[in-house]
Amino acid sequence: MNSNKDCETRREAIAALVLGELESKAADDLKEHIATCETCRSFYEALTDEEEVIRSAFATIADRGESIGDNIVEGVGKELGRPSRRTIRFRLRTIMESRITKLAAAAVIIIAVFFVLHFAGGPDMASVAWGEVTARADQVDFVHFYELKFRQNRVNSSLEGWFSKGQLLAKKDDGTTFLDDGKTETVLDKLGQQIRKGASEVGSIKGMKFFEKITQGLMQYEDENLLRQVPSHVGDDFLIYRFGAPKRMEKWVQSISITVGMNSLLPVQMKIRRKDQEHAYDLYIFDYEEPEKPAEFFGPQSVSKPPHGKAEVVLDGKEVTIDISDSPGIKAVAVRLYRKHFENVGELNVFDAAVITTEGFRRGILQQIPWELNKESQFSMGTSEHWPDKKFRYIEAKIVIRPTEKENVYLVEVSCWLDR
Amino acid sequence: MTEAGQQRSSEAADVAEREEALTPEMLVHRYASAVLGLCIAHTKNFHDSEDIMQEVLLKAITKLGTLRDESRVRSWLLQIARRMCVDYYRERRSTEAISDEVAAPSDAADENIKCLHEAISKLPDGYREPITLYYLDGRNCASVARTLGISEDAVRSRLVRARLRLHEILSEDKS
Repeated sequence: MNSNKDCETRREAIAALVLGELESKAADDLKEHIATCETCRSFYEALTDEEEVIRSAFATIADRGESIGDNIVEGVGKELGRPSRRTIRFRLRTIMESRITKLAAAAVIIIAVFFVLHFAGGPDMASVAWGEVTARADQVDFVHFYELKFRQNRVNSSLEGWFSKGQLLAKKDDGTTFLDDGKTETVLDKLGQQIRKGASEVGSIKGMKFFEKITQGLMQYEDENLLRQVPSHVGDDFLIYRFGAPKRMEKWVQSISITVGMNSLLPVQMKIRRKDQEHAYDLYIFDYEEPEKPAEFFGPQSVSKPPHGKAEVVLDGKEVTIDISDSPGIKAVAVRLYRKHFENVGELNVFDAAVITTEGFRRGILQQIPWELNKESQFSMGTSEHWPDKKFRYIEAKIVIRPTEKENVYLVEVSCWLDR
Repeated sequence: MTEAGQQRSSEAADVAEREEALTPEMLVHRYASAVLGLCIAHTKNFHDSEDIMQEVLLKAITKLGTLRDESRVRSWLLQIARRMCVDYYRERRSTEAISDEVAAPSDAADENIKCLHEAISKLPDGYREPITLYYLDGRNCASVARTLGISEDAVRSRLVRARLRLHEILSEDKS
């Protein structure tokens, strides 16, 4: 028996073992052999020692790569004014280009508009892009709405709903109640008995705003053509936007038209014409009056739990890594506060954040978020499989920025949750 | 292997696509290591790798707006990197005598990197990319396989052989 030759053939397997690329059964068998074979053990030990040096050298290389990357980002940021997600840029551009925003931006312009209105025939509302409506709708934190399902031109079912700060309450005409706190949706029958409990409908579109959800994707910002779309009809005090069926609704939707108030630029009505049934459409009516809010659902806000982590952060200073405790799967959140100049709007305080998981994976938010003192900002990330280990993760986070006694230093409180 | 991610609902997929609107920051943070890994596979010293990596990322950032299929961004970047490595040496050859002299290493870490890089440069062609990407991009054969467009088994096999060859080269260098 030629044991040396046998050991020679095991070299590849030993290398695979050292790399951690050998299946567990084969690895166990090989380890048993290594325990009894001097030649293989010595080769295994040599490779293992070497592996440490190689990994350490590559880790240093990776660190340098990261630092070069940071410099590039910083350099590009300086040159291009910190370009953010191009869609956000587009949205900002859309908003900035709008007459309405300019109105809000400077009172002086109101006088000019007064002249325009009275002497030049009024603003050109026909050019108000849908992107501006979505931007306005994003700002809304309370909506009262009705959903009426018309079949054969008669109301087949109706539902009244309220959406406020990420929570949804809806009551159907058959007495069914839908309660959705953004995490769980509970459905009660007319006697108040729970008939279903499951993942949040609003929450399942995690990160989506109410109108994104209810308009079934029409409010998605990323489709620049959609965002650029102008009204198909301009009335005395309303605009109507008409859209074809969004891709995922192609089977049952013919078209969607949304009526928007001319002053508020908020949707007041949406009509979804269906093609899966004859003479069928779903009509939504929206209003934004707080007194409509039902007290039984939207009571006073519960006292916030202690944040998962907090740290002082200097405005326009370096990114600060805030350690997170009591939130499984999350190690830290890195936060940077800075001022950013927006054309026509001026300077805003914004933050950037990135979550670092316990595995050490870092994922940043996709846009800078403007903030105000003591006001909670929320963001979410994940959903996709684009984590290094390709595992599904979804992270929700809340940030409150509070003043300190020191100038330009703020206390950043962070809470975050990871769903796998 | 079936990935859980493939089972995503269309809504989640939409959200994922939305999330993949790449910013320069995301591009750099996600792919800098892979780009550097590839540059190391095709250069003779670490400084050249760094230079080319910077050029690749800067070029990619300027082309970001033209990128349509963001799921292919990694392959796209690595393609740019390969081309730039070739161009880099071609240009240098035409303008100056190639000197592989590197500044004296400042510490043990630099020395290790230098030795490793030299050893990698001696590996056969098909072995260099799998091994550098493996170590610099998460030590994950599946990911390297996707990046290089070859099977996971092929990656594993090349990786193991590359690692053995690397051991031989490093041992020779030592002796």
